[in-house]
Amino acid sequence: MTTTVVITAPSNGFAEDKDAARDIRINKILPTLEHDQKVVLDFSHVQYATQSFIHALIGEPAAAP
Amino acid sequence: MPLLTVPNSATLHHFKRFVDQPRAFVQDDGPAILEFHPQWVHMEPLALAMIAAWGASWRRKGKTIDVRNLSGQLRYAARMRLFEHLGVDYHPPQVEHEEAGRFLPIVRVGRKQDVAPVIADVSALLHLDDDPESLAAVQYCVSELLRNVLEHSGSHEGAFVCAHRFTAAQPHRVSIAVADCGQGIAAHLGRVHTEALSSDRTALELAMRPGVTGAQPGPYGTTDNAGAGLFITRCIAKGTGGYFCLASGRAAFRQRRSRQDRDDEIRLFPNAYEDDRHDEYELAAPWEGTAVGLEIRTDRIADYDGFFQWIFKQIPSRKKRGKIKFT
Repeated sequence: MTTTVVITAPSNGFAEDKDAARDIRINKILPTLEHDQKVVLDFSHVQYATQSFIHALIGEPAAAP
Repeated sequence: MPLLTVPNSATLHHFKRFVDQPRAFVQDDGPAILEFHPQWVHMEPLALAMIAAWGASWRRKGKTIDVRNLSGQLRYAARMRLFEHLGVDYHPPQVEHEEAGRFLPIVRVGRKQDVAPVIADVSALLHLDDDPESLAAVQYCVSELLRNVLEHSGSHEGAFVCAHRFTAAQPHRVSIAVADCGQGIAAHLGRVHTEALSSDRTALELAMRPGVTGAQPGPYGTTDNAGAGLFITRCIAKGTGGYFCLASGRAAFRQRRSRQDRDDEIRLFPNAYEDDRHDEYELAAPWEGTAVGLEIRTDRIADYDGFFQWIFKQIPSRKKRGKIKFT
């Protein structure tokens, strides 16, 4: 099973809110992965993002063994 | 009494003249004195942001800010709202032919939810709507620098940010500054990187390296902090050939501009102090907090693939001549 997580951004398309990214990670990405399900991150609403945003979003699952 | 002196050129080019303030944080009775050069003053955002942070810090401690040499030459500082932040009543006469503003006036950012409105204002206030590559770079740096302050500085007043887009004279650029009077870099990093406590210079060196964060040690930082924000911000300045200045405690660092038509000088060093094109200063007295000022050369951002690949791979030399594509 695959879960799609839509990443949102303000109207300027700039995703930089690390707290929002952390919430997505904790509440959507990690629980889905813990159930051995795939996650698709939909960035179609994001024009660009900071490295900090991306790290807060997927740094933890990406670094996991 | 505390004294902050503004020389006639408080710019990144003359960084040392402004950043070295022996009496700015002297604990004493009486007001805090802000003294401008008596004849004329040319200020850029870094000086303005630092003055605003300094003034707010002293006002919180109960001091008033007394300004010396407050003249009509300070219209620019007034337009940047410096005196509003200092609690100084000053309304210079407006000059009718003055150019419409291409600046982001000083804003105090005390909470994380204050960051997004500042980011949103960057486009309109700096007139960057028609230059999305430069806009992206500016927004990126403003976001990273503000969040650094809010997450790491412990500043009671938060961060003070401002920016100016220069288009009348070469090089065309956006100058950005963020300053605070928080705990400073050494105190923050020193909690987990004890070597940062050995000297402010060491602390600055660590802070500008990729992967170093004061949150917790580890190769990827913590789950919320990778320790890359200041590194990438420095790289953006370096990649476009602009200044990058950092001051905290007794240490100050300046990455120089690259010389015109010398793309071989745009070489990235994870350790900023290994770059020949830098200046470093030991200040007479510590800057109690952190200040960052940088330039993004807008004439050098466009039509160049892989700017971020260049940063992340830490390629030592960007040999291909041309403009940089940011997004």
